[in-house]
Amino acid sequence: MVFQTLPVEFDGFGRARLRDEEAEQPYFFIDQRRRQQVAQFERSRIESISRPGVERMRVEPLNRTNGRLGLDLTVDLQNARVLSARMESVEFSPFELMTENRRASDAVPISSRTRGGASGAHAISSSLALEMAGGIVPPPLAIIARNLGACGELIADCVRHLFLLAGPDYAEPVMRKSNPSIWRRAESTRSANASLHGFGTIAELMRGLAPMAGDLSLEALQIYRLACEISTLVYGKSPHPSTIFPGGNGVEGSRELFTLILGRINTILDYGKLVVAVWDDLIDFLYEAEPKFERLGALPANLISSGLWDDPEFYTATYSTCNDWGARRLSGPGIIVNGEKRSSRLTDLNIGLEEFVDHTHFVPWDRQRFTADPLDNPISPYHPWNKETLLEAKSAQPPAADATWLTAPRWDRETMECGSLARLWINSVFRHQNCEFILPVRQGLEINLPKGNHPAKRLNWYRPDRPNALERLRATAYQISYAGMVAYANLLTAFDCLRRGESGMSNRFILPDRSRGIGFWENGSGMITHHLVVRNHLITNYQINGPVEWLASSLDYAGWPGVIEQALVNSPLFEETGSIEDYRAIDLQRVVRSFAP
Amino acid sequence: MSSEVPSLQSDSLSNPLEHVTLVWLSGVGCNGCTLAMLEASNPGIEDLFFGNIPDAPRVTLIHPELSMESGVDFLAMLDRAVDGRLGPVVLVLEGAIPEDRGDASGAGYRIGRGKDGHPLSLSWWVEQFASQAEALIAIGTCATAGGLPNALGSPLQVRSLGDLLGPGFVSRAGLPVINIPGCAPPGEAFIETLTYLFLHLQQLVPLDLDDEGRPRWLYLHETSPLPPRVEFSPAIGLDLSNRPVIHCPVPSTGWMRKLGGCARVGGSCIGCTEPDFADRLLALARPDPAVN
Repeated sequence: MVFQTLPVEFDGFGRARLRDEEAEQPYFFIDQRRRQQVAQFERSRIESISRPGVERMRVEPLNRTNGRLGLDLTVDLQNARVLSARMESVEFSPFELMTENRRASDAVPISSRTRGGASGAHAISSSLALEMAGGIVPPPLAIIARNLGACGELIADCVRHLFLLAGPDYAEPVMRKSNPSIWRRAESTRSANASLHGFGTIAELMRGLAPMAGDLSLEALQIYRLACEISTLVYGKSPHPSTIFPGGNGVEGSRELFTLILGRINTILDYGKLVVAVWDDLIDFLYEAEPKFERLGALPANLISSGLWDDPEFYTATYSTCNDWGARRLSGPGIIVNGEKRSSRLTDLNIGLEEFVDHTHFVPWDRQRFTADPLDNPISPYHPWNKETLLEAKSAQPPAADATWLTAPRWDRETMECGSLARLWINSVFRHQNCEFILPVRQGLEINLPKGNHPAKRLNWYRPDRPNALERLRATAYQISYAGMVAYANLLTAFDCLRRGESGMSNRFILPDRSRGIGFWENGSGMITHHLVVRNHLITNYQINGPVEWLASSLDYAGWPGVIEQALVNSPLFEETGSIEDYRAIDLQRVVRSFAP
Repeated sequence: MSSEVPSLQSDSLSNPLEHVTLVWLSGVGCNGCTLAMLEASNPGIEDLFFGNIPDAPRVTLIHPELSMESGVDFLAMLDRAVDGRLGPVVLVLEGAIPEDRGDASGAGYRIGRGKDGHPLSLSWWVEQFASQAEALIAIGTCATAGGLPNALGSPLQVRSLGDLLGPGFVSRAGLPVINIPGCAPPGEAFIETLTYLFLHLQQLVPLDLDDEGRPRWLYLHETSPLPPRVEFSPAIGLDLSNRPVIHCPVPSTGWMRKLGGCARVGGSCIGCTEPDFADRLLALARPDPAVN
């Protein structure tokens, strides 16, 4: 079954329809199961809140993330339990509103400013939405160039996640203080892959992680720059591409361009062997030293990915064929709820989307422009094609104490995790096999890396029992090689195109008069969708959802918390801090940063 | 280099400035300037941390995306920097400064809360540092001019660093606000300017700023808004003579390590370094022909 909660079913031809076609407001309901879950959760929180040892604390600003976040915690330190966790974003992003009433093509440079680290992904997502609205496909070489730019940006994003944002939480100075007994054990534990990475003990690895000081961190900074060079070669500049537009790419698709990228990818493929060895050693050690790491930031597998990297042979830009070209993406789409496959069709992904503003600084909208997608599949009044970005009037009451600047997106009313772990997981269980160097196998994925300075190597990524903080980091390490091999495959196709003389880089983009579009793409931290509506050649509605919304948003209409909030409440607490005065919730900061929100 | 400038062989051991705390605050923006800053190499930011640059001080960075500390520990570091307990400070602002409504929401963009729980706005923090910092740098067009958050359709009321501090402002070291515009500017332009600022503070070289507070030697280069290189392009046959002039280092230096560089490689120039970015200039850089 694709949808369990939304009132949508499928007929014999696989077309979606409302379960009850007569229902007046089929989407206005609160799921009873969810209502009970929320009530039960609140009861147990309120019961325990007056107990001794229960502390309320704020971690704000919560640094080393991509957003501007604060964390409000109620922690029972005596029983090592998190009673409640609220994420707040103090950042309002004006770019949805700014694209409205503008020429459609302006959306690309404006929406790219949503987030610097994902600016290429936003520019591509915006271009895809416009290509869908205008029914225009770029030439093959332009699609390949776009893929390569995205590989560079994604690799840079993953390297930053591992060595500047989340990774430093496991560096020596933190471990020594927060988990001294684990640190002592690390000093006497040999690393299994020392012959590959050169760090004899786990403690040496942890020293190497010290940000902007340790050898691993400094090496990562060089690789970050190399990956940025790749995106710069394609994008003209990075962050904020100057070459990306609907229908093509301004850069010249020359042999020189692709050769310059190939040289850099080869270095990154070698680095991929190293970075996986480092994180495998570190993570395997942490599980052994403290089995509670298995439960740190653990969640049921609710995973979503729209996939990215289009195959120029199949990409046709249109909505009516998006399930076909989506299935050919070099990282394929999919949705998993509670460990079970729901769908790998982009239309199902789209029609299951809803966005709630109940616990935000935004106000609800009252129109429903569309009741269906262009294929007549029903969509919710809360769907991004219907959602409007409305700000509270200035004279209104002060906003609720728990309000945040992030809307709460849901799929089939479920909170969904996105990012590297979701992508690898989805590619393995849906058995997407669109890159010749990456094989889905029963337990995970095989990534085949060619010989470079280091010998050829097959990386085996194993699907964990469930997502947790450390597995998110491990997946991010494997994602570097995954993206590297996608780049390699794209380069081979690029040289083929050039041999055949197919060097075109753009097709004429014509502004549609009336249309709708979606761009599906991803950055390191997860799925990015841009939904737009065009009337009289102008954008009348533009909606952006990125990983920070999926991951770091708070309560929805039913009072059900967001992904990171749930991961925090489920987490064990095991840092060895002497007193409440010294308590900084390091365990929980590790959980938040594992998502790189 | 002019003859009045002392030689770089001055004795580094007697440097008056051995250590500087670089405080990086961010406002309305995308954090892209931070990422651009990390891209610079030879020297990179880490060379400043290690004190690897002759005659430049060793740098400690306080930064919301790079500091180890969060929450009360991070705010305490900012407090110590404001109080002068961390020695000479240079402030860098990325992003525009939102209007301080002083209400419960802190107008968004607060940086922590005070002891009594009231939100500490970005403008409050900037004002704390204005009298304390040796120099103040605005990186990116959001901070130098308001940038995209100030453009048409944005509900935000934002100010640049220069606007907040006023036209006659000079820092402790006698410098106006140093502006490094661009959306984002190349990281190399930032590191280069910062290094020159340090050498200026050591009285080794003058810091040559133009009327807009920009490092003159970097923003000498002129270009115009241009659409990307598109087949069937409106750029073909375009009359470039009447286009506004854009001052930007990228046409000369490329984006990083001489690679890329917008119109240099077929991308558009949307005039992102200019104070009136984005509306008028963006319109001159569209890839698609006008309708009708």
